[in-house]
Amino acid sequence: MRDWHLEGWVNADAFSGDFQNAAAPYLTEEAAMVANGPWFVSTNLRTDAAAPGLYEHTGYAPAPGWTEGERGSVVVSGAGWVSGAADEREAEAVEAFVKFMTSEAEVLTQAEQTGANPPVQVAPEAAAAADLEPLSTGLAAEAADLTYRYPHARVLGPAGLDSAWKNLWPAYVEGDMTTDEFLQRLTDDSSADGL
Amino acid sequence: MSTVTSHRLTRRAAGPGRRPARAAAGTPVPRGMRGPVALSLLPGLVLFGTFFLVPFAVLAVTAFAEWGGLDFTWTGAENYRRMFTDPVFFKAFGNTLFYAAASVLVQVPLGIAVGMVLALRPRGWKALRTIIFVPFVISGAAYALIFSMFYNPRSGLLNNVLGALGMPGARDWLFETATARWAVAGTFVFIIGFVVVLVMAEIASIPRELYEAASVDGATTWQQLTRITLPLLRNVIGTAILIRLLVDIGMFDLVFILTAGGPDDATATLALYAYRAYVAGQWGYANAIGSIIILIGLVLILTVRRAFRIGERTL
Repeated sequence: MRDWHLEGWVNADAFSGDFQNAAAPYLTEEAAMVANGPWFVSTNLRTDAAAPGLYEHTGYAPAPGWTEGERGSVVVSGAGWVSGAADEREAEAVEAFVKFMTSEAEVLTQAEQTGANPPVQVAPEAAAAADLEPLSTGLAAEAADLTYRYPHARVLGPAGLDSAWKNLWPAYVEGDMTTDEFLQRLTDDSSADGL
Repeated sequence: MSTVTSHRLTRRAAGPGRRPARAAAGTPVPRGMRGPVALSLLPGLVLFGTFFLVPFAVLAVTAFAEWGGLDFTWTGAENYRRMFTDPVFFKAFGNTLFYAAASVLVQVPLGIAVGMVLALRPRGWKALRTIIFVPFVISGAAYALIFSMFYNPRSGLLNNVLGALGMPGARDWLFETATARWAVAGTFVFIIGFVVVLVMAEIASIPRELYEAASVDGATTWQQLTRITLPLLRNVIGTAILIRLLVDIGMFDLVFILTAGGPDDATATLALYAYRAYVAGQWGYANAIGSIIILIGLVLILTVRRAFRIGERTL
């Protein structure tokens, strides 16, 4: 990733890590690729912010960048629910709610409306019958064969990772610290053990 | 031509019928009014206690503990020992001083100069005063976002203007170690509206007779500005410096939005560093840093008040 910066393969404003700095050049067809998830389709790609016809020109691919031939993806979980129900009646209601939210019909409805993938496995014929986003479903199918699949650090990583990354990454790319120093400080600064 | 000095003004101001140099202290409350006075003070005291004294006590006590919201362990002065061996703390401390110095050395003198000029009421002074004051009332977050776009290396106004002028090499001003701190300071040192308004209000309160007398004595406009106006602005200059310093030692939102303290803590402030400690679950360490910010604030208040004799009047 540092080489991408040094060789100019990423935007000059990629350091800030701000979403719009990545999205805007892609939507205006100044950038060839944007790293993002299926929600990007309905929230950006199919809106007036995108250049005309951009959706039709957009494909997908798992992330390269590992050993030759190996590819990977970063998986982002959707919203979850935590119940604080204490009595039996409320617990029954929570159970019914969760069963409804994870039912095949409901997850497919959500997937159709948001452009994201169903968060639970559904029958192939039901998925085929639903009006799912092809960019999203195709990538999900391909992801099954990837060498690497990582949970998104912002969702499952330590709370301080975002600000630690933004603080250290530019200095690392500029050569102010070695890879080992960068990784050690990123670990320390983003975790509860250090700053 | 006789010279109008601040010394003469002081002597004249101290004559009969003038306000005394120091306000009388400790005026006793009449016996029958003590109950109502105490009652009227009660809401303020409760609010002050709830929202200042209690949090302050919590901060002061927990600065001596390892605390993350759940576990609480007394560690004595360990947080302070750690702080004084922590290079990032000293970086943040130095940056905070840098921002404070930038404010005092640029913002205050510039605000005073512009305020003095606008007080002469040149053509369009009202419109200018409004334009100058607008940046001061914009929220810090919105202001930071405007400048993050201004400094954007790809589409920002600064690089585009420099490019149009033929200057080579678009820079990422906020994320290069060499330029980041200066770029952050550049966003606020020219926000002079508050100082300008303070200065103009103070100048409006200066008796016109002083200028008339000086004019009769043959003083030029420049001499009136430098020998009447400026010396009488001592109080307001001290107040402006104090307010700027106190704002700057607690600076957070601007830096957090622009750079998150990076690159490599080149722009981090004490308040931002305390926040990071808080997010990392090190509330005791965060509060120890907070206590240092409070201590610096107290030292600044005492020093600036004394240096500028804020509250004392010579007129």
